[in-house]
Amino acid sequence: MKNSIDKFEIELDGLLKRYFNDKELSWLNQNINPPKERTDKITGMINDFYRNQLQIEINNCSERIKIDRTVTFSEKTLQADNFYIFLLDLSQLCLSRGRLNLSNELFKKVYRNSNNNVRKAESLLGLADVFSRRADWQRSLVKIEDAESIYRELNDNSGLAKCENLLGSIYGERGDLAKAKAYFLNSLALINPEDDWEFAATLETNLGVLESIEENTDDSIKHLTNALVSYTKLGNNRRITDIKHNIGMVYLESGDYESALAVFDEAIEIAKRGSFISTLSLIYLAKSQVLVATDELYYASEFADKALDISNSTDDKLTSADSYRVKGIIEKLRKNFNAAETYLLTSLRINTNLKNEHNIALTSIELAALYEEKSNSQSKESYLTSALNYFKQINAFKEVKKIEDMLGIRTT
Amino acid sequence: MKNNITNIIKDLKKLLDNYMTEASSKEFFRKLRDDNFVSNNEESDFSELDKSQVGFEVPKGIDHRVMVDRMITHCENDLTEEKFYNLLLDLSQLMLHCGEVAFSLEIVENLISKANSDTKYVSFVAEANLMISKIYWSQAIWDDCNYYVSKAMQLFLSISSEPGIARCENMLGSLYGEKGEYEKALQYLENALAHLKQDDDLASRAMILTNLGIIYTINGDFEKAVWNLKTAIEKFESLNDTRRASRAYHNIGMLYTRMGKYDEALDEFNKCISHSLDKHYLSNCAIAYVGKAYIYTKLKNSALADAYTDKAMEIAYKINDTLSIADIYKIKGMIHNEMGNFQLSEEFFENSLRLNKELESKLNEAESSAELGKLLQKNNREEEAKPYLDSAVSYYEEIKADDIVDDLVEKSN
Repeated sequence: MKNSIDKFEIELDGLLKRYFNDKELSWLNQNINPPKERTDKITGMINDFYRNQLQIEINNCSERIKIDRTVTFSEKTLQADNFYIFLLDLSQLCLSRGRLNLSNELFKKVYRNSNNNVRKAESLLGLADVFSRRADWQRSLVKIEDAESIYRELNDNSGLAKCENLLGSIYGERGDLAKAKAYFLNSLALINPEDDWEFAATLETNLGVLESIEENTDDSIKHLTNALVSYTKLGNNRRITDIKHNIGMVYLESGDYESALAVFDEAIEIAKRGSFISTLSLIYLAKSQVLVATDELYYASEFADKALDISNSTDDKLTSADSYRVKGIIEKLRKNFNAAETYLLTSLRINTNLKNEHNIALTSIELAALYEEKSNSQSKESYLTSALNYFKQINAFKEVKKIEDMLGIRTT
Repeated sequence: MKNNITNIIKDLKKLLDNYMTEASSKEFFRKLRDDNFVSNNEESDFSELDKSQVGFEVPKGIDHRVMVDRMITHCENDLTEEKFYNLLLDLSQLMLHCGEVAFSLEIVENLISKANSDTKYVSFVAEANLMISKIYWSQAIWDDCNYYVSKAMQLFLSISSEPGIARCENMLGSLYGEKGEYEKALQYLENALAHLKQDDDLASRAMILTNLGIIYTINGDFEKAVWNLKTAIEKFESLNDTRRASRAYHNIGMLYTRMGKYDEALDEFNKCISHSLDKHYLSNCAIAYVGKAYIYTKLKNSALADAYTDKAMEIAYKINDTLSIADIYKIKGMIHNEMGNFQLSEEFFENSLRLNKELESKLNEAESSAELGKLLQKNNREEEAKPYLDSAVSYYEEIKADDIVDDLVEKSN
């Protein structure tokens, strides 16, 4: 394996030679290679508990064979409309397991072949979800619009509510919290929570996450706990891991690392059992952040690497960008400033491409902290100022205060 | 890992239970659980070469990603815009061949978002769109492939870039070729050649010749196929383009397979694999493995055929090469047919047929139909076999593949 990676590096080197002279190339090689990458292996130094938590294989083609055989069998066995309903369920299952390509393929099959408009709308919404998980916002928005127009024709409020919810999630992911909240509340207004309590729980979760970003810890915990109660009643383990991840994040933000770690460990256990790999990468990254906070950098690095490994394989660009941010923080704390800078700038570059304002601001703060260590006050101030503008805009006072402190601004 | 798969089966079963009788669902999942698709072949019988090829450890995307991501971040500041955009195109191309499809797309989309607003970079945006069409082509997502190649074409036309237009025509030829519409494909490829001047753009000319070679192979025009493919290889080799030369070796392998010269075909597939494994050109490996697996079924070596299809499946799944997956199912069907597992064989042919229909790949659909028809016939299910054989014959007649038609008609008589 190592040998083949070296060969890849040789080819990459050959490519770079077309762009750089020898001096530049040698500088570049020094800066993109150290510290030696080790992103997909769990090292011998890690303890058994962590090793067990990190031991999950991501891709196995046997599952594709089984799913293909199931689809072929069902197509022969089930009546047409029932088959498409089944296919929608199966697509959702693939989506929840991070199998975006398969999910995309199956949703498309429903859209193309079903004659039922409700199924078509659902498949469009499913496709929109796939695109949004890949942070392909534009294509996601187009699919939502298409689904919405069908639901509108059918006067289907429950369908429209799902569209509004997905729109809220997209704007939330991009850091436009006001718009996100408006969409979630619109969605809530379109359903009767008593009749559709599973979907109501989804909305509670999303509102809980927003409240957390806006630093309303109590409200956030209230929403998330409500949602957790509903999902526990429904026995929906995938959603339970999502909520536990979110609750852990609230603890992490409030500095309660012990509680955060406990919740994340519970969530990892459930996510591993159910193979919810998309959520797992988020939890690994969250746990990495706790380990950074408790100064266990070695373990933090293992968890960040695994998060990056999974998010890369599930094409979850937002988590990849965030993993680079955490890797940057770790390298900064290890005083590997060049590596830290590259990771943070990589995170910033990807978040900028994805137009993710919130994460741009978070990464900017880390870059500023790095430049402070490097005594580069000009870069520090520039990154802090842009982050400050964003956090002021979303009324995140704790972050504003933190930045103002870094800038040496006295506030009353 | 076993645990992960068990989870998927559990979830699938739970799902299917909602849609059919318990007995029917139970029986299906019993089969699903009993069938083992991970090769348990006795590798000691394999040659050293085969052992090393099927034992290849597929690299994880993350091995490449971190390095390339850091490189892009550095180069953005250090290179001129023009050089940086060229680098992004090269990296996207490299990542696609290494099987990092999503990352390849991400890189080239990044290029478009940066260069789109500046009119002086139209050619880069056009190249990027063409690259995206290729990424979708590699996954058999034809609509998106067509959409982006059209966008690229418009942009190349706006700057009167003849080589650019030629490459778009070539892409369209490739697209229709994969869908089995060979007359259309030939037309586009000939148009493509007409847009090139005799001496310039050697790489583009070689790519077009390769595609023409493929179409001539399918049409049974072997002399023309050999000339086109060998000339293309010469050009790729003169350009030191191992990646494309390897692909052309694979195509010559396919040509020899079509001619029934299996030993020669194996040599060519091995050349393709040995060059590609070394450099992680996963897409080349996947198709060459499929090519070898097919020959081993013809040579009645089920163990090797099975081992190669398993490896091909592992790669094809990773790179989302659905067309190869459909082909793998066809070969798995042939293997199980040979082993007397007729029910499983039938199921694999049906999987292959379903996917090929969905992918609108007419040639592959005809191949799967023919295999399914032959299997049913062998099991004295003449009536069920007939529509499959008829539809295959009708397609082969349409493309004038008389030798195949004769073979199928003879078998059905």
